[in-house]
Amino acid sequence: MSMTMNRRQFGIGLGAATGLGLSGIRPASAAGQVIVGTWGGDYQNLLDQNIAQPILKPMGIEVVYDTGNDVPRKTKLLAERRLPRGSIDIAALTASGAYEMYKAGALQELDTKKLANIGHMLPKLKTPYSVPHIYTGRVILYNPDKIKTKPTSYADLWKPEYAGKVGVIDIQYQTTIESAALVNGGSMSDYEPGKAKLLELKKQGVKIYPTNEAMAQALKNEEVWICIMWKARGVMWQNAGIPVEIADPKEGIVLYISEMVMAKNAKNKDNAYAYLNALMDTVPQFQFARAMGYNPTVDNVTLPKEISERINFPADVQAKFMLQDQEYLAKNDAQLREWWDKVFKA
Amino acid sequence: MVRGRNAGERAGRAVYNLAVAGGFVFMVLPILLVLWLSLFSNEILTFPPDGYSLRWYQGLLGQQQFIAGFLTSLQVAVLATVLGLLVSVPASLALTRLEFRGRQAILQLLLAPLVVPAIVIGTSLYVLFVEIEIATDLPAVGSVVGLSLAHVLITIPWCVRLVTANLIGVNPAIEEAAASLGARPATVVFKVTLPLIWPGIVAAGLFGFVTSFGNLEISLFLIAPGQTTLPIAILQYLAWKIDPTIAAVSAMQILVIAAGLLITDRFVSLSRVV
Repeated sequence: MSMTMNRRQFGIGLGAATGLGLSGIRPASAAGQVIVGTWGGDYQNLLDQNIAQPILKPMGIEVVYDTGNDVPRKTKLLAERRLPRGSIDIAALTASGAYEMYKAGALQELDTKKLANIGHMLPKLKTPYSVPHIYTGRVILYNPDKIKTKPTSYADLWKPEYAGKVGVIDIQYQTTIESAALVNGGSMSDYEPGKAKLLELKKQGVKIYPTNEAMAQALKNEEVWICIMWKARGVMWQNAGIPVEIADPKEGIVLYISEMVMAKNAKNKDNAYAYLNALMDTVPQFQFARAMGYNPTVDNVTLPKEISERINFPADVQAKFMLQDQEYLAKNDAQLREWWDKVFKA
Repeated sequence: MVRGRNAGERAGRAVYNLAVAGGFVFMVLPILLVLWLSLFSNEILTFPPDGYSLRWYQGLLGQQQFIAGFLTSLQVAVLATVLGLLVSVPASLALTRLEFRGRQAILQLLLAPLVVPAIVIGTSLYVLFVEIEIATDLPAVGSVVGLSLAHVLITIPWCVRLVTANLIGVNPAIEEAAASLGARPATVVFKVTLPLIWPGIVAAGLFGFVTSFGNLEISLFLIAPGQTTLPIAILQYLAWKIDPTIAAVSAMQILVIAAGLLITDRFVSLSRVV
């Protein structure tokens, strides 16, 4: 047997390896911190570069990130409700997720006196339990080389000439059913008519992609000519060289809002308020618009014309901004998902 | 030219060789693809590539989350592997050398983490840690110790299975001979049994390490604030960007693991391990 490491060396190796592992143990959080549960990647990098470093750090507040997806984050908020002090102070959630957590009693209702910038928040976005951070609207993306007439309605996805070239995204099941409902007699509070409409699309050979990223590749490869997507993603994809143009559906623009909420049992509430207030500062709001194509949620940010033209909506379209009916979604999300998986995808 | 006594044997050998080659290509192709993709110059991964570039590797230096994630994953995986072996080797010895009631039940219990989905283990342990914190007021939620202990759980099935298989292959007469010559039980274990199953222990360590290093689901729930693991960092990066940076990260990971295997080979021949 080839063995050049003896038992003593193995024991030393084990000890050293354990030491290496244990060296990662950190002490409990110190004072002057705020723990922010957020998506990672570029989103966290922008939060750090534009909020944590330039605004919170000079105030003596260290921002610590709990990076992950929103589902584990919601699980944590729910599971930790009984703890006197939770492991996160601030959580980044979608509007639906924030509403769900609020209804479950996991969130702190915000004291607006501690949020100096709240006066600039767009009235349509305000909630008593969150600071809307960024928003965008749902639009139609299409390949202008293949589709010569700019789409004007979600109904254009059903045009026979696009059969086999329409794509939908698995994780966007809710918004896809919603869009179909809007062109088939449904409403923001009744997605049911969307189901029959989507089955028509299925018959026409709709392609289903698992994620937004897979859709981006399909658009780039021209496997897909037209799809439903958030405008900010459309802008990002345009920047990445994907051949897409953006069209506003006449049914109205439904908003996607990314919000930040405070856990009811946050350890660092004052620092959390400071963080939430900083989210609404003009500089970080501008930087998110510039880098990611999301719209500012406050009214005192002036975007340069070249950015504004790409990410904003015309005034007449803004007048028709629509918000999801969170109460309806909370009650119906499970059955919508089940229908999507068992009927539409079957 | 395939050798064989007759046409049937030659055909059989050809099919066998083809199957082996096919299996080899099936295993190696994804690794080669990742290395190839990491050199694409276009931001969106499409075939054929617009050109080739090393810029994604250069960009890695500015992505602190990947470096921090790699180091945390390494720490957790090393700790989980070592603790997993410390649990699994004595357990395997007891399971193969002793006869006692409930032996099968304990074996199945130790292998159970393999059949329970990792996301269920992650959620359950997280809820358990919350309960511990409620009961004791100790900061159990979001600690590296908690995360490492959870990872120990997923390394144990691999370690127990591999060490047990090796122990079964050891001729008990050798251990009995040592005992009959006056060696005490501990001496038999350390001087005879463990050296005989050494390749199995190394294999168990390797499998345990890789299982822990690549785990995403448990880490998502149990990672401490301020830390990230490499799989989480990769997942989070992908939420916003789809450029070949991820392929470059994976290529670096493959190189590091390959280096680890080569170093291991210097101590224990890998051909005996796997």
